[in-house]
Amino acid sequence: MSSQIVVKVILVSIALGAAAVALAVPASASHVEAEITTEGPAALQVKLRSADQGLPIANAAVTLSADESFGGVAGRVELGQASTDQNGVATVRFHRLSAGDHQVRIEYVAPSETEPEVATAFVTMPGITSQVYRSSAGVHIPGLNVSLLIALVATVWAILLSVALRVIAIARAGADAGAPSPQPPRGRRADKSISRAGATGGR
Amino acid sequence: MVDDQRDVPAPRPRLDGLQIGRRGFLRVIALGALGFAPLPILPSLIRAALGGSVVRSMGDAARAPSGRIRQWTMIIDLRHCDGCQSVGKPPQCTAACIQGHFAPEPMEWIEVFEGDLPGGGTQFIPTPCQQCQNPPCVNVCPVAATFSTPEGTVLIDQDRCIGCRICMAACPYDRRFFNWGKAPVPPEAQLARYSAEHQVPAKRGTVMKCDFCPDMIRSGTLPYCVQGCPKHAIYYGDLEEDVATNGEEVVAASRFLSGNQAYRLKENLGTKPRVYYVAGHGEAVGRDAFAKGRMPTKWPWAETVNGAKTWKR
Amino acid sequence: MEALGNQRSRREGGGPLAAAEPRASWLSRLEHAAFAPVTETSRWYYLWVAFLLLVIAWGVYAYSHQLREGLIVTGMRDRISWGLYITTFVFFIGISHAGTLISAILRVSQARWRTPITRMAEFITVVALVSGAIFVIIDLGRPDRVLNVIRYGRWQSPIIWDVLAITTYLTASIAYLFLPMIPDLALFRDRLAGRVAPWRIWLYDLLSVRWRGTGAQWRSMGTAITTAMILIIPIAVSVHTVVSWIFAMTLREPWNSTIFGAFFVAGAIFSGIATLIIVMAVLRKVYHLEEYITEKHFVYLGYMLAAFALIMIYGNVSEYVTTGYKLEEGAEFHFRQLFLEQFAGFYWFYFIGGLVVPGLLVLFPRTRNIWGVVAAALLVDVAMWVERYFIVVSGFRVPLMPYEPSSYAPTWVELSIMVAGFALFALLITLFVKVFPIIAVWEVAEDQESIETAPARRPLAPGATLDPAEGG
Repeated sequence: MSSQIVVKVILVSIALGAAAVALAVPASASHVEAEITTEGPAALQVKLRSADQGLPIANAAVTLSADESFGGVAGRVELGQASTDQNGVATVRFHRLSAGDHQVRIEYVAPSETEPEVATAFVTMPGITSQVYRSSAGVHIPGLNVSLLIALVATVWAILLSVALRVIAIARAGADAGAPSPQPPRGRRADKSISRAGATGGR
Repeated sequence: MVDDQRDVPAPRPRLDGLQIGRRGFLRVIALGALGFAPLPILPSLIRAALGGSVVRSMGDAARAPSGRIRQWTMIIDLRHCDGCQSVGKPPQCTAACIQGHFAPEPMEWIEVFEGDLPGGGTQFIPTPCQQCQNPPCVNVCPVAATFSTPEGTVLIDQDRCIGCRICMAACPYDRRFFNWGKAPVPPEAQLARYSAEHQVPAKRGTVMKCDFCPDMIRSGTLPYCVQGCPKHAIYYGDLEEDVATNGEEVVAASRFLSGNQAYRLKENLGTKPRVYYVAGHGEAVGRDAFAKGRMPTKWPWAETVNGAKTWKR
Repeated sequence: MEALGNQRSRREGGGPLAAAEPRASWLSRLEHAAFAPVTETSRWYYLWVAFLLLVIAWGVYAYSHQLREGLIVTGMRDRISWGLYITTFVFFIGISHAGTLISAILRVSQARWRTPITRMAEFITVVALVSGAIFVIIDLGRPDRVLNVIRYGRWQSPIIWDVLAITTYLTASIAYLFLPMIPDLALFRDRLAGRVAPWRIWLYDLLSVRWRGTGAQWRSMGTAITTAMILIIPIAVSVHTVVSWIFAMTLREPWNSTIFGAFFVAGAIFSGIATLIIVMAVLRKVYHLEEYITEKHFVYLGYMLAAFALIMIYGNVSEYVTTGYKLEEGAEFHFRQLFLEQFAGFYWFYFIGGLVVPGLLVLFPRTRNIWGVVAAALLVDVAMWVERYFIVVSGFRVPLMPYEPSSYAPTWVELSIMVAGFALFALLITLFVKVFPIIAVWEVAEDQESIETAPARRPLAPGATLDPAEGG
């Protein structure tokens, strides 16, 4: 038995709440009526009804595939499989489909038949605006950032700076004391003991 | 402690005319030293304060029609890879890459390793740069000569590379190669404009590797290795749009990966590579796992160029 | 090597001043010991410098060959991409810890016996850092772009940590070498006029920054030295830690270890002590410093050498027992190549000859003398270079993917440049000895004087406890 099938595609947009767009395209002949809707950008819903009476057809295996092209190669990508429930609705979830128009091929086996039958429809997939993958190199540990390292390095160099300033202080103190005289090597203690004794031992 | 006794100075020979100059000289020396002391960190301090990012743009990021940035990936179906044994040639993915990029000998940017299987057989594992999402090479580079792109790939700027080779020490997949000598430049490459997306001509003293052929995919053609494989074992795809192709068929990447239990190399290291493998040993193209060996790689372009300098791996 | 009028003292053990000898003549002998290397130059000195310059010239020729042809003239290749240059770099940075240990740590703990050797330790540090830093630049594939490190440096890179740490350590070491040298430079300025060339007097005058020995100047110097000595210890620890992290921040099996930092710092101090012993022995012999650098110093340093040998043995055991128990992927290959096959000769020479034998040499009283300790130090220095070599090369050799392991053999270019690097190290020390005082004269004098003023408190035998001095 063959009769015309009307395949309705109803589009429901997400996030932005735009108006629904429906496209009806005549499909290849079959004895059931299939209705396909998008349930968000990652799922398509198929409703099968018998053509003559419009009763829902349950427990039919439905396989969806869509055409895709990438890198100069066009082909058909299988989206997924599902079975219709008692209301004749099968929801095929898939990961993602690129935005734009796709021709969806619905392959189903009616319960009374043994051969799979095919219907096609066009779907306009909405674009997902948010990036799913973000590329960033390396590991990020909150708080452990370069500012810490900069602070540490700056601290160390500031201390070294203070040491260098001491050298300048020595030079300055030397200038105040006037010209030098030949002196023997002696530590600070020798200095003290000699000056205390008032002697010039060691010269 | 120390007392404050000041010694009465005895006369000492003076270098005339320099008394004041010496003090000023000292000051200049000291201040100059202080000024130069923080030099190693000052430019970086400024740059860090102004903010900088690791990712540098090579032009715009490649985008899908939906406007989202592509996330390049490769899926290598080892069920279809037999190391080109049935074709009677050296691995053609490697050969195509070498010819396409004029890769200096002995670099094999995609290299076909022969790994052992449990039971004694072997499998061929074509290994391009794994384009890690936590790349050890990018993490250690001192000058950001190697960097991650928004598309998730890792590129090298050979104009900035200083040749320290710490990235080669860091890569756990042995996928980085050094220009030890001056590689010959073929006539076709003489006028090529070098860019990080098209590493021709090679520069001596810098590092090179597989770059996922960004220049090719921008113009809509597939990478050399994907095109070169006679068994169509290599798929190239976009994880963002969830699509991949091997030149013959188009698949939904996520479904292809999950349905075939794809895995990644050295997963436990946490490098998060973007190259996936479907386990196999070439059985889909009729290879027996115990048929070992493949032909050695050649560099035909280098044989016709003057001054071909080569070295061992 | 002649030195005028410096007879061996009958108190060669370096003990306290006998009541018979006046302080004046002891001081003049000390001064003479400090002046002699600067004022007298023998034929041998010129021959030695000429020899070192020849070796360095050959190294420069080898490097120019490398610059012309590229790194292809070395034995390094893709699979083993670091070799002699990085080995020698790590080795020299390790040696540079001599100064930190002796000068800073012993100064902080106010160990008296350090005073005659602090100067040598400090300038070994500076010279070793300079020599080591040169090798990193020699290893670069594009040395013409070395400034990229400053222009584009990434804070997250172990190489940048290296650059920061080494420049900081070099600056701090130069300051730490210079500061305690000021009074001695002033002594040279005052006493050597007419005995040396005028440019030297000008140099001493400049560098002694108008030192008069006034109280204010002593105070400034004291503060500066204290600051530097406390600061330099964490800097030195950080230096060799980040050098080890060049390896430990990779995912290669033999390097992927958390103890690398501590292990390398211990190894650095270990090789630093050994180098100090060797330099000390040479200078003592050549410049007749037997009165000031005595067997006691060698024995004490020998004890420290043995202590660090134990620490290194512990580090080895720690690393290899834990890895070997599990034998993860790559570990079995590495153990085979390291303990049994390609690198077995290197490893067992390092372990037995560089750790066990030096420890034994110090342990047994029969060998616990100058000869024994110097022999131990020589073994240690060679063994530590060998250790860096097999850490670098065997680490690269473990295959990352299913391929045949490669091998590495250094070429004449690498060997020439490495030998020239050692010659540069020796040359800089030789030149330093000619220009600057090799003994910290004022510190030794101060030490001697505190012996004089408090003889009752001070024990006489070597190996006894150390008395903290006022003002350190």
